[in-house]
Amino acid sequence: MQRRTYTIHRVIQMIPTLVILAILIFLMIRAIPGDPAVTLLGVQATPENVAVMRHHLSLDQPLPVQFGIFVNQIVHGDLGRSTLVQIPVSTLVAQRLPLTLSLVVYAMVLALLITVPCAVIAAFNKGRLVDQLIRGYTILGISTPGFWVGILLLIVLGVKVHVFPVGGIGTSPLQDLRYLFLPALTLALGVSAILIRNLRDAILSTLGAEHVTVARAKGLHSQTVLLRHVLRNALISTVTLLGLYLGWLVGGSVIIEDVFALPGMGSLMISSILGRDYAVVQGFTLVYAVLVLTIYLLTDLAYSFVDPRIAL
Amino acid sequence: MSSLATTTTAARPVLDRSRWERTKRLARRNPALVVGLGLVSLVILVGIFGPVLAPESPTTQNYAAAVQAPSVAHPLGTDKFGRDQLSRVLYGARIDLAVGIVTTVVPLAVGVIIGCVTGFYGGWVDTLLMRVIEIQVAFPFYVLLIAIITILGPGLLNLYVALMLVGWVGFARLIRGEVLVAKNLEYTVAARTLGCSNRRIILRHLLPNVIGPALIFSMSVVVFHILAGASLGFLGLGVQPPNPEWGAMIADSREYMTTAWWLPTFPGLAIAVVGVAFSVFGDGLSDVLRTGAR
Repeated sequence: MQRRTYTIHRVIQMIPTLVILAILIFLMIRAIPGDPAVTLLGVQATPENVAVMRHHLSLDQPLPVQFGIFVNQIVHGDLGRSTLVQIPVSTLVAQRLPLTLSLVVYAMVLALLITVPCAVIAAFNKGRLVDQLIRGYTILGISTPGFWVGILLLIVLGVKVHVFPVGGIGTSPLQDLRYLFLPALTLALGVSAILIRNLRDAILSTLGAEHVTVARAKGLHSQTVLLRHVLRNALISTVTLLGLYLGWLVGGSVIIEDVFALPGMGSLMISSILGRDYAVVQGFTLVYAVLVLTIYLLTDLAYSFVDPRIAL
Repeated sequence: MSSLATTTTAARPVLDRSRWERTKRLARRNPALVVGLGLVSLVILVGIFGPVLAPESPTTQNYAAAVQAPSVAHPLGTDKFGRDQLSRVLYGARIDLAVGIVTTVVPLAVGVIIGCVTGFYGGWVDTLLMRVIEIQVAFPFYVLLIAIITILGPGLLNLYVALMLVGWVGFARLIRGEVLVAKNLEYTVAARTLGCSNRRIILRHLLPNVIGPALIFSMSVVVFHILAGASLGFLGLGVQPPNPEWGAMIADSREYMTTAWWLPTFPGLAIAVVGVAFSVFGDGLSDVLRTGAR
């Protein structure tokens, strides 16, 4: 019951944020210098087309009325229409969101696969060469731009060694795993650098905890102590960080999709900015923000299950 | 009077020696700080004297020497316009470093002021800050930057504005949290009991005690903003051609990346070196300030 109350409370907390978010995104196109109708249609638009667009966008109405209409359209799934490809933005979202989500989830799985063994090895070899090497990797991972790492991976593993495709997507989910490997790895390398540091420190502080000493004193096998007593507790803070970085990965995917020419939301958003297709930029910004808010909500709810004290 | 002057003059070498000893001890205990400081100083010197060190102009085109591999004449090769890559990398240091440092220092100052005021006074200003933080967290970092650039238009000046608009919130949140804890500690209560004004408490008692984490965080922000500036340059939304910005240089090299490895490699290495320098310095600074706090 308390968890249910917490969930409802947490969802209600999102409402003011969503309202301010809608206002900001509503103002986005209007903040661009010049007439929004001309901005959307381009400078070569005829006065008649501009007048039609002004009426279509309700720009002849007072600002609060315009905002009401904007919210009503969003609620009904109408995110506007792309001026370049002449299809609804919601259709573009439906076409491209699955790939972006797949990339983010794939990257997170790879990041975990890199993080856990590296952090365990580093923590159990504190101060030794292997620990220093892993520390070096984390510093390099934090300090190196993802798009450059992606290009290097493309040159080495795609062009020179021909192990992975250099761009695009496959025709089946299994092929997609291969096609998305390099972009997902690029994203994962950056995030794992941060997660390894966090998990290594958490393992080191858990190793000194009393319950671990007791587990060792009981004569438990070192593997059992590691898996059931150390890692399980140390992972809690990393899982929280993981939720936060899932949101970061969504943003990072915008650039990586562009590097690997993936037909996701990010690559279209970039080409839309350069092509001044502002309806797409506005719609996609909204979708990204709602996506991240949903991820944070789900992380908080999942965390309340892992640690019931949160919901109290 | 004269005896006092003699004592002061005699005490100075002892004081200097003990300070020097302390510095040496600090350096021995924190190699990361020394290495980081050395690297940061080096990259800043390159940023300042890059144009002097550069053998050629970064924008002079020479189609006869286009896409040439590294050689004695062009140690880092040439690009598709025959421009010397070494000169462009050296000139680029100034642009990328300035983006990273300026867009960190200004938000640091603004964030510290706002964080101190909201954390100390609370009330509606604090509620407003919390709302701004919530909204900013809802936007993925790059999506927010791209949205601001969409409104302002691509370019170096707008890149500065976008990064500063986004950057101050993290500092304000950090300082606010520190102030919330510190304002209830004994030294603050004692200062208040002694009749210190709020302004004096904030400036003389709270600020020196809460600034440490913000300084450590600022090193990460410098790295993050250099990477962000380069990423936007790479996407064509940051520094515009023909300016030699590292991210834009990597973007320019995309069509040649299978045949001319040096084009994406060296600007990327330059970003990595600067990033590592500030990261290592930040690690060292963190060790020193934490030890100091203990």
